[in-house]
Amino acid sequence: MYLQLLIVGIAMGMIYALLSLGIVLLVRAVGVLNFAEGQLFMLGAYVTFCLTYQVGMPLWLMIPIAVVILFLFGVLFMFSIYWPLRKSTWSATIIISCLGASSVISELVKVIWGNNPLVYAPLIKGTVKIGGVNLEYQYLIIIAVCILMIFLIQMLFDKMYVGRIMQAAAQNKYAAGLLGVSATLTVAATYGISAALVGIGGWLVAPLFLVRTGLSDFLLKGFAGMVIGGYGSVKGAVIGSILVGIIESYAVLLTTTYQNAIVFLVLIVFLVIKPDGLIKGKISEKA
Amino acid sequence: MLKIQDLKVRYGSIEAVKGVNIEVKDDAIVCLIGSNGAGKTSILKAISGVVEHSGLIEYNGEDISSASNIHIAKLGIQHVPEGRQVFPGLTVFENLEIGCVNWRGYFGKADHKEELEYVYSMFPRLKEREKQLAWSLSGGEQQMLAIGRALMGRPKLLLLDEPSMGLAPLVIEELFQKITEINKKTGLPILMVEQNARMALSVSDYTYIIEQGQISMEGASADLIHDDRVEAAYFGKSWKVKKEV
Ligand SMILES: Nc1ncnc2c1ncn2[C@@H]1O[C@H](COP(=O)(O)OP(=O)(O)O)[C@@H](O)[C@H]1O
Ligand SMILES: [Mg+2]
Repeated sequence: MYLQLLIVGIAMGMIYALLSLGIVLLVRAVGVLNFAEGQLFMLGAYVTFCLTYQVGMPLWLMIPIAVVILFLFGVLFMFSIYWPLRKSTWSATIIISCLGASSVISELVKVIWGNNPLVYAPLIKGTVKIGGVNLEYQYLIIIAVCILMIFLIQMLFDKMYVGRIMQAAAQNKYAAGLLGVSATLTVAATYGISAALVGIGGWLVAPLFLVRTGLSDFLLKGFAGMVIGGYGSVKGAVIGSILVGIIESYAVLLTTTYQNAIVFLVLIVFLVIKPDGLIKGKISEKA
Repeated sequence: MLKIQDLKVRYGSIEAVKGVNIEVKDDAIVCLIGSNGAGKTSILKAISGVVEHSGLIEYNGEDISSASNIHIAKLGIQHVPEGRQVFPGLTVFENLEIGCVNWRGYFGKADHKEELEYVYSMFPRLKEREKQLAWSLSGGEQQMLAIGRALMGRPKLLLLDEPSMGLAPLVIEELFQKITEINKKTGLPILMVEQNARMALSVSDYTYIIEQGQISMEGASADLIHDDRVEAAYFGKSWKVKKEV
């Protein structure tokens, strides 16, 4: 029972980690909290559902195509929501336009796919017995895929030249511009990567939570993970999110109706004790 | 090399640069000196294409007045900004590597060993600190890194904005030695902004004095250094400031 809760907690924490990573990448690159990240997450579930069931693609083809579509949607998102407002002197402008965008995306999804939740069959059906309790295979798939995604992001930003250019542009846009780095390109790529990253998260949870617009609520836990980890820190976001997942999972032992309340109670207590988060978020820190 | 005619820069209602003419000849070190807020940085920013401006900027016969900063960097005009502006969370090596982006592209397959060796031979201290994060360097080292980063971009014209800012006298001495060495060795023309007038005049070939967005005086540095008006306006003051400190 305890082991099962731990695995479920880690799996959900990994999902929150994808969300908080998506947010942190944008915070570092453009200094904006993207409140529409949850909708991009939900969109990932719909896009993969559509490619799998409505277009009928096999998994090996569906994944790369979905990633490309989500990436391009992220780029489109950046050019319509962020770019026109980037020079606004009132910092709340972009947040408001993100909020606007999030309801536009939700409504658009309802127009295309309807109001009813859709069923997405799990990748591997059935359950595995762990510690005498049955656990869906999907949780293990989530952990594996998320570890892979986080690893790939780490490789991109740390080991690849283009990723380091993106880091540099995030750390000092002005200096990068003088060297000939296009801010348009690096910012667009960051939005694309962020959208693809959380979109895959949406695909991963769809078999467990159905394909529905309500999936966007996962964003709140991603935010919680980011805040616990330390605002703006990449490492912190991942660790904080996994912590949130585990707390949420074990909260079941106390209550099933107030799980969310417990998570946010812990968040508040945590912030009182350690206001900067686990890892002090520094823009200058390595990604 | 570089020819600027009637350059004007304004920020809203403030006219920061009010029509200046500047020329940088091949192989030369040219200095812009003047007090805070005179418009020196704005002139360099206009050349690099990062600030709105009017007037003509001609580089090797090409009109770059309305070129983008990306195009200008590709032409080999490298701008070392005021306050160094290194990438704090990247290592010294990574900072240098990003300086190649103008000729190497975003995926960076081309070899940059030659450039790296040149920078490390110029600034051996950077090689020692290769793996250190840039924020942990001293001010002088950061300035070397910023210049080294620009040298990685195969510069044909170097713009330096107040390299001596906030550095100790001995460090300034060493830095200016390097700057003249770079110029002498490779013939790289340099347009340098300085507040340290004595230093600037002693290393440069030609100097413009900027006051409130205009050129108030210009001439060969060797002549200006003995000019009474320059002495009164700049050395007198800087002496006094030094004594007060
Ligand atoms: N981004 C800006 N917005 C508004 N005014 C500016 C800006 N940058 C510089 N200025 C003004 O333009 C004038 C010239 O500035 P600058 O070129 O930085 O001078 P310097 O480099 O000689 O100290 C100053 O009065 C400064 O306040
Ligand atoms: Mg200045």
